[in-house]
Amino acid sequence: MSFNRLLAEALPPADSGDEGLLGQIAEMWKWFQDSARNTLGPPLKSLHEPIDNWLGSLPMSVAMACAIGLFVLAGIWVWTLQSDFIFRGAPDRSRWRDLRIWSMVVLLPYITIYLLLGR
Amino acid sequence: MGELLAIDYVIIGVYMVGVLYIGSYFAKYIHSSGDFFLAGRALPFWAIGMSVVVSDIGALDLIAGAGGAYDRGLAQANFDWIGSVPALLIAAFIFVPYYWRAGVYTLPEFLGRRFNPATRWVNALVLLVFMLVTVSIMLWTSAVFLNTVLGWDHLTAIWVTTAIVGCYAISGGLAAVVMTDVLQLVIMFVGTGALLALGMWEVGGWDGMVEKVLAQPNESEEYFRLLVEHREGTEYPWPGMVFSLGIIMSTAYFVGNQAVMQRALGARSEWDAKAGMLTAGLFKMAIPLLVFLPGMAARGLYPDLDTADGAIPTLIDRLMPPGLKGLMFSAFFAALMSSVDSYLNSCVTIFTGDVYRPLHKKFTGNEMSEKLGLTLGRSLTAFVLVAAAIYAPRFSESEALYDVIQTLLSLFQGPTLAILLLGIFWRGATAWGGFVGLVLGVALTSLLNILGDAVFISDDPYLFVSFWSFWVSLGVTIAISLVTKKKTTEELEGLVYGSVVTKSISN
Repeated sequence: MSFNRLLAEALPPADSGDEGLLGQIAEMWKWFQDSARNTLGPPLKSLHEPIDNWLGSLPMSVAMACAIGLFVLAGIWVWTLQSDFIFRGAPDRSRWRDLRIWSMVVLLPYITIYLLLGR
Repeated sequence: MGELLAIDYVIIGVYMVGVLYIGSYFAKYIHSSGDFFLAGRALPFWAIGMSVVVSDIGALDLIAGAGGAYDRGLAQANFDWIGSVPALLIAAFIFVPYYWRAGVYTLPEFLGRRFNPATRWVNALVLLVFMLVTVSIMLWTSAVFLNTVLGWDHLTAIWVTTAIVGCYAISGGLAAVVMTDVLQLVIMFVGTGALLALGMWEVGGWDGMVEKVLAQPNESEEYFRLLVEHREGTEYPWPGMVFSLGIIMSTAYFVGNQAVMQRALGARSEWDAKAGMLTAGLFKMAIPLLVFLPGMAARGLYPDLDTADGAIPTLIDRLMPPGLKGLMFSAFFAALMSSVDSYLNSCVTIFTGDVYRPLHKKFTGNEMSEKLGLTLGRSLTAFVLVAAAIYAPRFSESEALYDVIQTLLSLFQGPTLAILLLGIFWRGATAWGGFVGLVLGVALTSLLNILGDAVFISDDPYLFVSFWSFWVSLGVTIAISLVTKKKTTEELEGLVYGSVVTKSISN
């Protein structure tokens, strides 16, 4: 749930005229929220907006490449792990116990799914 | 769910008896606290993998997940696909071997040993409060569910659920919890699989679903895409999904989740612990198909539901014949109980290991004995379960408390992962660096959440907030560590990755 929506539901509306403790907290919170958004919002927005604009300008093929790239990088990294590390604790070194192969078995369907449904 | 017939009650009865039998079977193997909390380090990889998956999915997740897919389409699946598998690989090949060989039982324990006792206490208390409230909430959810389906009084429903979970969790500990989870997963998959088959048949298959959804006003092909454009008003923009969810949030969730790590630590070997994580990755693939796809099918069939969360109940009510309704009930109850028993067991483990054990040593000068640990574990399980059951009815008027707890916990995700990674991989990370990094990280997360769409493109920008809070915490921790006192090599022995894993490989 949105942080702001959560607080909005927990506290009475700031302009409700509630003079109890919750009403006072709601007013203070609204003041703090508005102050933060008015003072920090614009400069932080100006910092983040170029990033948003750049990300928005990227074609969806880049998105798919990044998503699939994450799975592929994970797969490449797994194959750099030493055999001793992979088989540690295993009763034998049968091929079916090679967790690097297991990792490929797990990763390949996901790569296929994102290739088919990524864009 | 509509009316249940005799055949449904038979199926439900068989399921309940099965859970009780499997759970109680393991009581005879429990003779020490190690048997109780870590299943005697005898868990096979397939049980670990299945238990991790089903513990992660609660009944609320089934409803809300399908509801999310009903509203937003296929992008919901990212939470169980890209939001699971890279993280499970990282867990399998980095954190599981580390925790296993460092002899760490809980995350608070590691943070305490690596940084300072205060960090351990804060982390343990935050997790304990969260888990206690979660068990209560889930018992209340169970009561609402049983009241709706079977017409049971809320209190009766709470105590029936408490009794069933208590029967095996108190006597059998982690072993009973994990093995009942195996059964719960099978039931859940069969039940939701039946719902998927019926839903897709009714909507006319994938093509029929696409045609019906696209015929609705304001719907586009984006509904059927996994990756969504990064633009104003988007709830699941792809950069957030790939870089925040896929790398940071999911890793923080899995390696910081006591229930997940405890199952790995209860493995019969390090190989089984790693293989268990990979097995979980395999089963995770099915979750969006079994849960989210029915939600999307419901969108094609019943586009005018009052609430998206009505997708699954509507499908069950209108499509499922007698017998299968009983199976779906069992699947829901399985999802519920698997989460209750997992949080319960983890809560007791943290209290025993991170609160009672240090106090016991401080005041008696001795380590807690195995027998005392077992007695304490069983007693606490019963106590926490009963306390949660007594407190559960209060959530009828304050369900938002769960959202509060979840939101507060999410403030810690990015910063905690940052100090955890630095604590494990960098000898230069200091106690002050970790503390300041955590505090400032949480403060930044809170502030960015408040600013919301004043800065980001989404009203609820948790994806980007986690991303930035992680990097800021990382930077602050490094900066403060460079100018504060470091621990000696001897003090770090057995705590940093190089002295734990790499050394063990070369030995």
